[in-house]
Amino acid sequence: MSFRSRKSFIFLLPIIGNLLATPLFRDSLSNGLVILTYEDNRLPIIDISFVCRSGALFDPEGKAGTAGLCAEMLFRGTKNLSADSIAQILDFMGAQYRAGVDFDHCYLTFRLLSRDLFTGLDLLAEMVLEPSFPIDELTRVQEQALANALRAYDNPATVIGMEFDRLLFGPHRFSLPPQGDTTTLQKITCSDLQNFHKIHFVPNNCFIVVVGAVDHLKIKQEISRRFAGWRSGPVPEPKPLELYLPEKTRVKLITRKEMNQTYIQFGHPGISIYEQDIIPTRLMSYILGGPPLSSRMGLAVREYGGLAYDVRCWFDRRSLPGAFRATVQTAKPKEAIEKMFAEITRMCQTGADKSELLKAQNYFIGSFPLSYSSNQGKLNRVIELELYHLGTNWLTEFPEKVEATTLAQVNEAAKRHLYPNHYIVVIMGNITKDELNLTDVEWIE
Amino acid sequence: MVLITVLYLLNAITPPSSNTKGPEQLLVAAAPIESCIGEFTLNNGLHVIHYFDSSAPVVSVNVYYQVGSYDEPPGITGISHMVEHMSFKHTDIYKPGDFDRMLDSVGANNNGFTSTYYTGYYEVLAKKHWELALKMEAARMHRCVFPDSEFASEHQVVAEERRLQDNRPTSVFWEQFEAVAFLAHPHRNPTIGWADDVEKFTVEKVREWYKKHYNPANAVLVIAGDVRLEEVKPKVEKYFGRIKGESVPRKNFYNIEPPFSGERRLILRKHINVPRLLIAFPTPGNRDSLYIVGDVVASILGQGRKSRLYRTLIIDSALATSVSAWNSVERDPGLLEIMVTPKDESLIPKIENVINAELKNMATELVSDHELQRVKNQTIAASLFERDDISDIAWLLATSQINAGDWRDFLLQMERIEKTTTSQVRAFCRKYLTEQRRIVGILVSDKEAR
Repeated sequence: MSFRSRKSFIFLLPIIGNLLATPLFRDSLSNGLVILTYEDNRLPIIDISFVCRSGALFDPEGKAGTAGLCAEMLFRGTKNLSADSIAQILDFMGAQYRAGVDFDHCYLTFRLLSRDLFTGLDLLAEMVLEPSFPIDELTRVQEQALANALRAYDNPATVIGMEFDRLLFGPHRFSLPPQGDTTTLQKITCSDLQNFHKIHFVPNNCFIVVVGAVDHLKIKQEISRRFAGWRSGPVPEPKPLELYLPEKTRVKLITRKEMNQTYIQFGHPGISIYEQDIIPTRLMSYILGGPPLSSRMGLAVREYGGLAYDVRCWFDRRSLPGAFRATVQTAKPKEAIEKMFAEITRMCQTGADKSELLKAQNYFIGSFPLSYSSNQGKLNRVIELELYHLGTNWLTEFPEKVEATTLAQVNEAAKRHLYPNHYIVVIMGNITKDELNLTDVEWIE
Repeated sequence: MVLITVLYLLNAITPPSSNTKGPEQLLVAAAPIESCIGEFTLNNGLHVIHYFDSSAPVVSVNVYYQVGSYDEPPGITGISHMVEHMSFKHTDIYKPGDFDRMLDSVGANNNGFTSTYYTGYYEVLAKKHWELALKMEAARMHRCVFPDSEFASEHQVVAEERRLQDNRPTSVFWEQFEAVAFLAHPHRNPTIGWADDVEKFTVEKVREWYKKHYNPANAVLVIAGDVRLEEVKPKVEKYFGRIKGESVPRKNFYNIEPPFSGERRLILRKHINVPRLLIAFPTPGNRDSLYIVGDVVASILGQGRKSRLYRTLIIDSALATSVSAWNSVERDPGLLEIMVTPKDESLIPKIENVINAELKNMATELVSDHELQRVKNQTIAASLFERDDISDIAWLLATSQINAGDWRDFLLQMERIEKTTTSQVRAFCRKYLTEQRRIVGILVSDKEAR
């Protein structure tokens, strides 16, 4: 090894990842704040996400929506800048920006021209470290969130999804959307947001992802300059989740006489993203109800049956076990639901075959690099791998793990994680119990 | 840190680059987009546009046909969409399901979509497989057979897709609003077609529509990504060169819409929880040099927190929880639309008054240079952001070619935005955003149904 190489080796010690294939660098400050930089110099643009590992799972009891409002309110005023000033700066730069939340994290994201990077980082630091949570802005944000929550009930698909969650998850936070609901959003106060921020926005519970025309060493230096004085703190654990499998299928019927189609969502408890056989389970789920034109459910219900435009199933991707769900919208609900039940039972009993697995593997392996060919794709992938502790080698490891998955593992995953005849089913439409004629089920009134 | 942002704010009236020191060293120059684009036309009339981007080993293959709901006469609305569905079925060389099976097996993302002015198909896939997409799209162009049995089941699928629209109150609202806004122009028809028309499709009609519109002279092929023009040319010639081309002149509906003689109003009662107010005005199509001023006006009116209607409706009067505005225009005259979520339906008259006052204001006073510069900065930035994804670029090139006859149209529109003046903005508002030309849509709760 030449001197030059040895020097580089020492210099690059903090770097994890496949350096030759992927210019992804992970580093951290002494306060625990993790920085991930993905260099891509094609265009003079930069995507930045600030992620707090506490999402809606950490909303205080009865105040679902706190994490989401907290993230949104970071754009609404700081010690030195009003909401108007923040918008003025970002809009004038032509930046695109938003806040968001799901169960496992809340985040701020910016898309900027490279020349505005330092201003963007200044703003980010100010917003994260010195938010002011002004009451007038909270009122506005709350009203908007409430309108969004109410509006969600206008869509039949959302209504049955929310009813399904309520029935499956009971008192757990998962029973309401990450953004909160009409009953909970109104109860959130400025002091709730301040508390949430104080407890969860600590550097050792957060990470920053930067993608674009940047140098990772420079990024670390600039982020360090702005965030090194931020003090770490204890990081809370989410409440455990206990899920129960219904003894027999339970069905809730919501009658809507004006509808000319019936919406159905059914499923049962799912698995955690940390489950050891998550990849075989994902492959199995893809074969069962992934693409509506070529999965087993898609072929039975749509392609051969002509019963629906869209039919699919999936496992929620969350740290705590979410749900396994299947959905369809159809004018012939009895036939569609019977076919979907039959396909799940068939998958449990006889499993997938080699050609199906090969096709699924090829799709996963082939489409994976497409998902991070753009900067925004890279940003999303890097957030995911950091959030779920997958490691920066995940971009190369994932296809390898998919390829190494055996048919036996996939079929074992079907047996372990699918529970025919133990579903929660929500049906909404202009249809009666007699017309559905479902046997051996318990009707929920 | 704070100092920098405050300084920035104080200087916000000047372009962002002029005050910030340091980030310049991180700047990479984006090659002018024109330098990445090549084009050629086959003898059969297929126009091919190539965009080179080698940053990832990925290629996006896109075929856009110049056919959509715009071209459909009464009675067969939605037939372009039906053809799109059927084109994933049987060809004389591929069995039903082969399109998805083969493309899935190489990890390609693929789909089709139907719009007012075009029907598009795309595959995004690893560079090493890009030729497969080309081969399949060539088959789709001239080898579909549409057997009766496959039509029967897919016809039901499309009927189910149509019903999805019927059960979403906002979809019904949009659909009926367009029908009120356009009395004669095909913009009044939904892309998916009216339910009665969809039900009456026959396989013969679908075959006829396919035969008429699917050929190289009526299509644009865009190939974007990590493949060079020298490689593209012979492959395109190989797969598409022998297909017979016949141009399909597009009817010009530009002047059919009767002139406005007063406000039109739609009040729709549905099973909803949150009311909506939609106000629109007919604005020029993209063949008119003023078209792009509509985009600027929409942005000043209702895009982002610094827009005028956000200020008046949400901050000052607190009558609404959200507002947005956009200029929904492609080829022919379209609509500049303002969508408001009122806090309560009883507030709708007040909201209308606030909007009318703001429009009057914009028709009489000049907007500030700062407001205009903000929109220009956003446009310039957005044009770079758009280049991040080869599929976005492919869409931009294909739609510019279809709608304006030249992919360079989007560059021209960019130039026009940069040259837009505050006087033009005022003149546009004065001419187009008038009470006489207003269409108002109100979606409120049907309390009896609830």
